[in-house]
Amino acid sequence: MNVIQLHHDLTRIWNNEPGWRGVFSSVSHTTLGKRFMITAAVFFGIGGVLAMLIRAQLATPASAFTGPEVYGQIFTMHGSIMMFLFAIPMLEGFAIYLLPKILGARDLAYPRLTALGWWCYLFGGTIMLLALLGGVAPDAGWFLYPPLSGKEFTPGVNSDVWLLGITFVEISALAAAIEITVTILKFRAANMSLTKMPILAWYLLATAGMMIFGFPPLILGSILLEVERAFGWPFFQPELGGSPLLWQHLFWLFGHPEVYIIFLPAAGALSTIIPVMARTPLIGYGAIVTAVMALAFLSFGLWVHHMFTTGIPHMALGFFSAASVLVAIPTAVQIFAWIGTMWAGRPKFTLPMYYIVGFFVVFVLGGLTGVMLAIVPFDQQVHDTAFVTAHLHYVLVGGFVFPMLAAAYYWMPHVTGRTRVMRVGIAAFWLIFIGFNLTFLQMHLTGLLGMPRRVYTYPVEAGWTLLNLTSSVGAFMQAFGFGLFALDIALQRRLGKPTRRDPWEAETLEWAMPTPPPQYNFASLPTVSSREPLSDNRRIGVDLAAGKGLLGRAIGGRRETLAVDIVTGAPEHVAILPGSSLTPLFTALVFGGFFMSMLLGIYWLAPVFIVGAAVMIWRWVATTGTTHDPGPVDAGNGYYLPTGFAIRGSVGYWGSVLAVAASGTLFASLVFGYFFLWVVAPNWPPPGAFGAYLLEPIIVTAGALLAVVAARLGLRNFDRSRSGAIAAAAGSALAIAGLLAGAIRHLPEPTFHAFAATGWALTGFAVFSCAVGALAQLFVHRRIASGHVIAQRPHELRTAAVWSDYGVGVAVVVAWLLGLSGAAL
Amino acid sequence: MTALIKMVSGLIAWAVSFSVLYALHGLGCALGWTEQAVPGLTQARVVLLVTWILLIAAHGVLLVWLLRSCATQMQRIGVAIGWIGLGATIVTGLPILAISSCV
Repeated sequence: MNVIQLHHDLTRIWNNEPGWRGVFSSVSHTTLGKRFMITAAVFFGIGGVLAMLIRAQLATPASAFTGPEVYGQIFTMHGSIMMFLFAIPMLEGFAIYLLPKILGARDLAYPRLTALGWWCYLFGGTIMLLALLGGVAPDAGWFLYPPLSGKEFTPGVNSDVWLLGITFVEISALAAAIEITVTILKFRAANMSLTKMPILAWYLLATAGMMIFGFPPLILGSILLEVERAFGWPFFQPELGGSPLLWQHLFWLFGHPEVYIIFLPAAGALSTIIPVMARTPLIGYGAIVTAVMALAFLSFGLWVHHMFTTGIPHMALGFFSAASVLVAIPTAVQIFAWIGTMWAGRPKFTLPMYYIVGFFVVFVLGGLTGVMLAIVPFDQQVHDTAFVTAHLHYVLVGGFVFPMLAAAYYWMPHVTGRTRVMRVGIAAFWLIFIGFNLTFLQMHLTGLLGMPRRVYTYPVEAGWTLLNLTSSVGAFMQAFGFGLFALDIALQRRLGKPTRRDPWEAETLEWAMPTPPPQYNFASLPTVSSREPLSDNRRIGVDLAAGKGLLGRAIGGRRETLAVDIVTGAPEHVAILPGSSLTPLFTALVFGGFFMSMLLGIYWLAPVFIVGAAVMIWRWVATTGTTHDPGPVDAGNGYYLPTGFAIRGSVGYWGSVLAVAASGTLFASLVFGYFFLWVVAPNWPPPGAFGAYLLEPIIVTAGALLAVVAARLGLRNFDRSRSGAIAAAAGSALAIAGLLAGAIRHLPEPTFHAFAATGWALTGFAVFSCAVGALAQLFVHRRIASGHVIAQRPHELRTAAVWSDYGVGVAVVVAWLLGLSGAAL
Repeated sequence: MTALIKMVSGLIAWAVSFSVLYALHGLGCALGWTEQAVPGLTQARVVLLVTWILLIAAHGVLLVWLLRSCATQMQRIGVAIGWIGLGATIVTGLPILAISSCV
């Protein structure tokens, strides 16, 4: 095929639709990655303005700038925006834009899910902003502790805005996490084994895994608190057997891993940029992978260090204190690997290096105060003081903002295809660096002198005036620095000269494509033999552009990319991706309708949107697959590969497995909450007599067995798959009936006591899970009838079995847990 | 996928160990295991101590299993992570030896 014609055809296939429709229907990872990052940058600006308001208020004692009500909204929104609407979406955008490019793929595993994530993020963030403009923004602190955030002390919608808006945004984060994980595992260059992946991919794999297991506890907490506020189910009310500490556990089960979720992608950027700037390979690839995995796991054992003053027994504090100290070791391994790499090389002191040096100074200081805070007696002294504010800013700005600023300058030539035009960036760096340290270094001292967090004023006699004033001066200096940074980026975008390909002489695959990149990334896909493919073949970009790699053709308008074996990277199949679609937008609008009906208290309308969401997801999945299997296709270079429709471990299957893992984490958190309240909360057992019941759990178990066995029969013998799907759905329905019968007959009203509230919550979750499983089986039944699922294309059967097995598994656990609990109460 | 899970099995084992110790501690305090089981040791501490030792032993077994195959870089990373899991379980369990259990 003519090379020019190839590029024309790929452009036609992969480009967004023209005009306004294209704005709404784009599923391109390049477009959506940039949208995520730009939206996150806008939110960073808004959060920054709120920070300026905070510093204006605190610059002088007894300031009349604003009152406590407004100040509560300002600091709550500052923290919430920076954590949920800036940091996480920014890392998502970074990963979405870059991941397929560094892995040698043409797009992410689920392009429409990427689009859904962005719309959910946009709508959820917009709800938060509108509330801020309307003066009803959340005002109970970014961690929204009850009882302050409960109905009694926050009767308005302020807390509801946070709970619903943030949960809406978290759909986006979970979608991105599943997307990133499956993409890394399946969509890589030919022969790119896991240990030949660029180091950034390891960081993003760990981050995405942490998001899958870290976000569900917060989503659960948000649901429980919203249900308590809306319907009076007393999960967090001690007088009725609840406990506000349950919220703290659920929040920080998310909240501490969150710090590393933010840090790891930024550290991945550092591990990518430092070797390029030092002109030498990264030292300790294996040690860094090990350290990243250690961080990913250990960070889940630290959450109680945010709760050292809540009266938890000392030994438990000791467990978490030890883990909190331990986590410094893998962090230090990375720091030393980066220092060693720079030591071994010949560093170029370019603008990204300024920010990298800034990172070292700021993050190491934040890490050291982190170790101090891990020690229980010290933490108890400075808990809820400005010392902690200083520490968290050193960690988060040092560990995320400085590396991402370095990353922005490093990858801007890739995004825009242009070079920087002026030296504005240097001035911006110094303003940010000096301004940051002027703001926060002495804030440690302010905290040690006793100034609490979140106070809107302080007396002259406290002796904090000079420290606060200089902090405010530093904050405004930072603001000018960020303004200059934005100007520098805008100038580069508009006026920069075109850059050559790979201007940094880097080794990773994103530089083997034209800049700015076309929507299809590579005209043909690379095969790699090491972690440094550009070093192995300096002409790789030219060769790929000439169609000499894999899938260097455009057939039938299909969006094709290569899927590989998870471990070895051996080519496995050709994945066919969906094109532009309005479905993600409409699905996000339905989700938005649900959240708005809850926010406005129109509760009868919410179930309508739940049904609407089920319909949208059904239609979404129904547009995948094929009734005509093209058979093995010539992928080039001697590879004949099946399409994704005809293999067992499709990306849809893996996505479902991960979604079930996230849902299972939410379920485990709910079970933890049940036992936590039982064991720790006051006013247990609930008043009244309860006994065990067995009939309903037996019915649920029978339904579960029917569902599991029927699904297995269908998987083993395709001739029985249609009847098997119906039987599996019937089994799920029987389990639902058993669950509802058990709850209606044996549980008190949910408002009666936390026991009843958690019992109903468990039942509701199990019913929902079974319903999803039943719908999955009914869906696959339809697909067999329509010819999409045949013996040679069985993967939807396996995927449906994942959902129905999980649903009835949850049902069995809940049924027996509740059935036997009565005997122990 | 199995290879990837095997690679991080040391840390999965740590996560399980940590959860078991924390849950058992909460349960012991809730059930009032504060009687002296042996001189100087409460029931809660004895249960935690025995569990901790068993968990360390389980880590040791896992490590031996991981050490049997070190041919690839992923397997070697798995061994390193096995050591980390073992060390982390020892360090995070140390408070069992010295700190009051239910106060």
